[in-house]
Amino acid sequence: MKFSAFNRITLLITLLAIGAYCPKLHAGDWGSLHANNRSGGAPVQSAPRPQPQMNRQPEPARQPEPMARPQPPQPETQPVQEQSRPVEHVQPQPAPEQVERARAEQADHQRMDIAQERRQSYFWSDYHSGMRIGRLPDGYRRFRIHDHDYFYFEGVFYDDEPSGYVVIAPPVDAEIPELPPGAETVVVGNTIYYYAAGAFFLQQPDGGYVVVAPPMGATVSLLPPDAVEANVNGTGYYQAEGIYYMPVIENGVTVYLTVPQP
Amino acid sequence: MKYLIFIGNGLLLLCAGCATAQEQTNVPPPTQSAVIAPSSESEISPRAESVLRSACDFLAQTPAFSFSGEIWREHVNDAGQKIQFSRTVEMDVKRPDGLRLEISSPFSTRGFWYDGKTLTILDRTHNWYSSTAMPSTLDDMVDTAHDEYGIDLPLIDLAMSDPYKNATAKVEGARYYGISPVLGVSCHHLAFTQDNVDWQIWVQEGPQPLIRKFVITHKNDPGQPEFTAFITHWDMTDRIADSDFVFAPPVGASKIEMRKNESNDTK
Repeated sequence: MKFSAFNRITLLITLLAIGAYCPKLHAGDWGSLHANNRSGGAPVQSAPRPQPQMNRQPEPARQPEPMARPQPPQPETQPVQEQSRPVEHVQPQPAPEQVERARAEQADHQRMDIAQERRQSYFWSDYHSGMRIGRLPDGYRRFRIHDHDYFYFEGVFYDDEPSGYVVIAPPVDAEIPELPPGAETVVVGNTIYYYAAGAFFLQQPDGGYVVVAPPMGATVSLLPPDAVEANVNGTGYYQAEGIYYMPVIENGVTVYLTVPQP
Repeated sequence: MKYLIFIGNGLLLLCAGCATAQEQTNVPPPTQSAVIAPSSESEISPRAESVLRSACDFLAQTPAFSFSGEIWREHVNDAGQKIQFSRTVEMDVKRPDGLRLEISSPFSTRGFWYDGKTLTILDRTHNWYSSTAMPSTLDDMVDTAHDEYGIDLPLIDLAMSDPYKNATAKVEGARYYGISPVLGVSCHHLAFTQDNVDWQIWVQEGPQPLIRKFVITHKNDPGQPEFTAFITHWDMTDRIADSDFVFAPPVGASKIEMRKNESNDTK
């Protein structure tokens, strides 16, 4: 599935229109009048994040396992809508003002320094690659990539194996209708990514978000859930799914920079 | 001569400190506003301006002081609910070129050292630190840290060399709301409006016009989140040695890079 020039132009116009309509926002985390007054000129506005409804379906019966996570009952269910993801995804070309606003939003997020606290409230914070569960959470989504079925719920991707459902690293090309809770804006060059639970997403013209390979030069507030320490030539890194993360101080707080393999 | 002035100021502060907070206020009588420029639709309360000036002048004339308290930041989550996150804060100031700051929570603890030459941030949670050269005065350091590195130093308003000028730089309206208790201390309650934020401040009643509470309302942001600070303890004595502002890496600490801020938001 490819997007015509008309569709690209339509997307750009839509994004610009939303940007023009949204109220101007200032950086909202400065803990002093001095900083607020010094940075008062640049409005910050969140990038548009459409949130379509997620399809729900009854969960297939599985053998219960000790690690099964109790789930609250879901009042309504709908038949699953399987999708076949196109391999090609589109990188919208945001206007320079949008990039600048996204960059300011990322800086705000970092300065708040509350990522670790917020993480406690997210479903995905309890999961990492390799974990097995007996039943999928109610409200999960099923999708197909390269003729293989995967499952997804609030930032966690699962594969179906004979022994149960296994948590896997976010598969590149998977598209989800809405960002996982707590997704943070990450700007690399002129590209606006979203990051959560170890996955980088690009927004698509249809409003969804597609998983892409981690870009180099990105700074994120939280390491992927399955990151492990990696000491290379006396320098401390973290490594997850072949990607190296180097701790740095940015906007006064510790964040993690994606770097080529040292 | 410089030291004589400092000693003189210290004696004055010592005398002031002997009085209790229950004594009558020494706030100067209200006068017509001469500094804050009201907008066409706002009004300036001379009483509010007078109380603020007394608190700021008291800080400006104190060569070294320490305080501790709590800061609360509101975050508006995806559901539009405002969630408060708190930190404890301890700050030591020695004018014109010494600052120590600790910001702590169970999830994140950071220390800041500024000695007139270098600003160092220590991530105590991971034992990582990063240092960078800074200008020679505290005021200039604050600007450089903000503009070039996007660093937020909460409550740094209290450490500026001219706190009154700093606080009123963009004020358009000011009101006085009488006496209110803040953690058991009687305080003057003042409210100020600006184009970008509104803010309130509570100044201790009595001979020591100490700031006890401070609220910044980010009125242009969705949900109008607030930054709130309670200052629970003040120490106006010069108890901090110069060497305490010089960073010494803890055992096993690793040095990491301090990246410059790319956002024009701070420019």
